Amino acid sequence: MSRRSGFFIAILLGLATGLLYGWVINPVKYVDASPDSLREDYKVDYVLMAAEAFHADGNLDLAARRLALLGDQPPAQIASRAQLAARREGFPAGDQEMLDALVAALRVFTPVPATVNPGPRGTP
Amino acid sequence: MNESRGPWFLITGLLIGLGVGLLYAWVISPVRYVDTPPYSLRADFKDQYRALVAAAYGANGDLGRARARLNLLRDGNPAQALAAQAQRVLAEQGTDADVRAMALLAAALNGQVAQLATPSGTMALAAASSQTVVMTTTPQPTDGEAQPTQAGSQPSPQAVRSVTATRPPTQTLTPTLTTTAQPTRTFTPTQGAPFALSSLEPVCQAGTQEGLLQVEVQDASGKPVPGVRLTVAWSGGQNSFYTGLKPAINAGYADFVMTPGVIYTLRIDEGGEVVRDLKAEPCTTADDQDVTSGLHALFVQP
Repeated sequence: MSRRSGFFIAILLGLATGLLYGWVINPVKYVDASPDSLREDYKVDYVLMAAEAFHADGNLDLAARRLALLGDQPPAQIASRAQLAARREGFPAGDQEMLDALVAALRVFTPVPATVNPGPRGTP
Repeated sequence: MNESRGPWFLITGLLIGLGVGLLYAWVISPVRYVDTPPYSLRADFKDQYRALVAAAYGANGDLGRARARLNLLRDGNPAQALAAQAQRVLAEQGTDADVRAMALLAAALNGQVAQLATPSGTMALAAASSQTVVMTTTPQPTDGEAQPTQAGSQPSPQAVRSVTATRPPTQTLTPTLTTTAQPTRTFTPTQGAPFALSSLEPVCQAGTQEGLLQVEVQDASGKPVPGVRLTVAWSGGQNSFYTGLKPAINAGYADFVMTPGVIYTLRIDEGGEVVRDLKAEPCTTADDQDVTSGLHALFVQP
């Protein structure tokens, strides 16, 4: 084995060791995950919770803000995906109805714009 | 000359390879978790998750479902975590609805009450046993190990299905008498007047928090009522707090530390009784210790 080929084999060996250590032995640990990284069934349950709360308080703006944590898509789209997943998984009819109601409400939802303080008015 | 280099070229190559490997694994393409469980959420997201569980419980009254959802967060003591969060929300001027919902759920988890306080009295949460849930799909905490994937690879539908197929959400089947009934929230209003002061007694004890204003709220049947808003006002300020945030003591319990020399007014709930001239004063205990007295107020719904 020539010295050059030995050198490259050593590099490959080091690379393999580095990948093994970085991916398997001591991978990057995510302890501060965001809701949009939740597993799909947890996301569906999260949307269901928002639907249950909306069913009780009727606060669509709050429901939309809750759903916004689950990703960049519009809340209606997030809720719609959960609705489909709930049907596919055979959720109880009551749960599906609450999801249906949330999706229907979000389809015509216009977010309330943030209020801007105009500041003190001048006096004549 | 060349012979004296020995194996150093191999070690150099190994170190270069190791460095490149770690750079790739940790920086360029680190392990990315795309199917995380709720317990891996950041603390503030956990708070929002917890608040949403409480809000959903306030809507459906399903304690089993709320408990399963809270278990996903792997809090050591879910009731305590809820109560602590409610205190924080209160301190940060959060919404009344959030605090009430969390206080109610914390109390329910401790098995103390099944009543929701409202400004106009109390409402009993109807038991769900005669209602309902035919099938509940609830993700279980035990199956929630995150799946590492390589950054850069697209999470394909197949991959998602694969994850789902290997660890599907557990479906808990609960047989019921009827199949048409829906899991609906049912509040049974309990008519009653606003809470009224039943007793107010000084507390002169050594070894306890001095100047502590302890408040207990009970309904007409003597059961503690969580989620009742109490407002303490004094010259120059006021503070609100809720019953139920210390469920380990009593679901209808709340307290406030008074400053000696300051006169307080206590108001219970909206439109409830107002108690004036409350103050912490020096007193001598039975075993001749000089302490600052507290007060114990009991409010009962007539």
